[in-house]
Amino acid sequence: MTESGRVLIIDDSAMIRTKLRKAIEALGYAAEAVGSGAEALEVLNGASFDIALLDIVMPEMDGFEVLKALKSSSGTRDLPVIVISALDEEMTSVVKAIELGAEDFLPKDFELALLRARLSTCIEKKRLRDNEKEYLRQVAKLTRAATTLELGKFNPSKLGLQDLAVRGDSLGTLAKVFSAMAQSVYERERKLRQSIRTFRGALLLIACGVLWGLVVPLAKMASEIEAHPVGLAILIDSIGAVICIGISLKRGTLPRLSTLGRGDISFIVLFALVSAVLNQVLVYWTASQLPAFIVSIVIVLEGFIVFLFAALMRTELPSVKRFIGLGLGLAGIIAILIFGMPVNIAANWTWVVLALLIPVTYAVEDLFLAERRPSKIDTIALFGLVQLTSVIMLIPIAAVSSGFVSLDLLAGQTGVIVLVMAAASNLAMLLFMLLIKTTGALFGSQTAYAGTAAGIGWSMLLLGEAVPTLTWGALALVFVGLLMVEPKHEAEAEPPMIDDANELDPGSESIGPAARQGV
Amino acid sequence: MQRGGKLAIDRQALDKLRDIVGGDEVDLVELVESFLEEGPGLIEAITLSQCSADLLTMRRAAHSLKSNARDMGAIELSALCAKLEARCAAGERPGTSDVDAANLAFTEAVAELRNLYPVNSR
Repeated sequence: MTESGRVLIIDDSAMIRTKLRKAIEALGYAAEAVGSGAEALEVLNGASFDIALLDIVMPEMDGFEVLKALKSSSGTRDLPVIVISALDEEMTSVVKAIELGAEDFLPKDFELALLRARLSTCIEKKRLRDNEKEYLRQVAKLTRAATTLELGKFNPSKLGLQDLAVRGDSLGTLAKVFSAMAQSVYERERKLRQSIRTFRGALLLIACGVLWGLVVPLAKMASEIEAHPVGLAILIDSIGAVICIGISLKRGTLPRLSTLGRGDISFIVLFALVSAVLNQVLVYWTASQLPAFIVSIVIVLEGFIVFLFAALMRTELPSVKRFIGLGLGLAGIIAILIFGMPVNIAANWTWVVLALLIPVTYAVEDLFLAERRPSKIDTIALFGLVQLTSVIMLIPIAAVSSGFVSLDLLAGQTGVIVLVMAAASNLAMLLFMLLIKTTGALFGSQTAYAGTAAGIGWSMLLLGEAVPTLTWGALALVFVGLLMVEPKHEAEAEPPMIDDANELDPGSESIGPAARQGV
Repeated sequence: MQRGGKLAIDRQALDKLRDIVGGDEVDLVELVESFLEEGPGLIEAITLSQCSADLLTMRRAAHSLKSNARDMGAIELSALCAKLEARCAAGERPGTSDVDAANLAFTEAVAELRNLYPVNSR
């Protein structure tokens, strides 16, 4: 007959140890024997047993002390103990042992049938208790999962219910149903959040584009009153710097210079160089030479360039759909440049090529913001610092090229233009930074499409520029492209796994705090 | 070995012990060897503790020897040890005659066991 179960024998007499071990092995159980209480505690610390047979009368640490030690430790509390006693004269000892938590007793001169009965009963009881403990542990786990679910953000696959769901009983069914429901709720909420993000992104994108579109025709108007591009940039960036730094000072969000790291400073300097010195001056300069709507249209190439950069750097997933979307946008622009240029523009191809650098600088800004933006600095404060740095960089250039705008000019129409340009371009840049933070670089690059559409509209409205009919068809292509590029699917912050390590005692009633901390 | 026609070792007790450990003679012999190894230390402890009046040590040694002797079928030795244990438990120091009787019973039991298992026992 073979039984399963491991028995630990604790007796100071070598002969009794041998007798018990042989008897127990003859019954089909595995047995290990130790000669003292201290040894028993050491063995039990490292290995698992189903039952212990414990002698009461032992030198140094007697059976009662061993029992007390076993029952006071969580690891051995549930180990059933049978005390071995010479029944005839030790009844009081047996009673005391049972009061201390012993399961039963076995007389020293036991009959084999009695040993078999005692062992199988105790081991069976332990099995049932182990199953019950496991059941309670899993119920607690399920309850914790439910608490986590109720508290909001979660990912059902991280609730750790897989091992429960494989149970064949009603608890397993409950876990399966619960997991499936949680999964569908989670998917629904995730889609909703994605839609909200797309919608918010689209709104930001349109607002940003409309404002940016205004800048090119205004720059054209300013150039007609002979405002130098560098001087114009200094004025606009100064206004942006004063307002943003002012707001940050009021809100207390402006970082102290000493807290800025090398990375923060290099971001500010490089971003100022690209956005102010290169981009701004290029826009104002080319706007003075080309029709504003052509400059606006060229800017749309930003999306294509960002896509190329992002795909090369593998920061965004270049899906086929996105590629087709951006391809359509590009096809539209080429059509506009070939068929939509006014006749007298042929002489200005050098300027068109120069204008082509504008979307490259936008694309660099876009990716730079997405990848390197110092996340701990507030957006307005960061932009204020960038604009301040821009002004510092632009002043020497203006000095060399005598590009300062005369203050007399500001009194008239130029003053109004400069103010509107400052409001539009600074606000557009802030919204752009927010957009990239919300939706990622690739979606953010679509601002260029909105900016182009708005730029053409503003050019017609403010400058009375005529846009050839074919241009409108080509623009439609560009906007289909916009629809095909969704914002990036951001990985949401996941709640930590509910793991066994930080589970509470299964017998304990309270299951709340651990789950609450976990969220 | 016999005293007054009485056997020092109860053969039925040995049969019972053999059954308990699975019915194999080899296992029984191993237990007898174990008794012969452990026994002298216990009887010596009893004798010494009688001299030094260490009742606790004597009680423990008598308790162990009592159980071991019973398993071996050494009925008289077991009964004498039980008496020593009870006296100690009651706080009375057993007399030398009691200890001598236990010593004699132990010697007889050992001799008889050696007689029964001459090959394996030392």
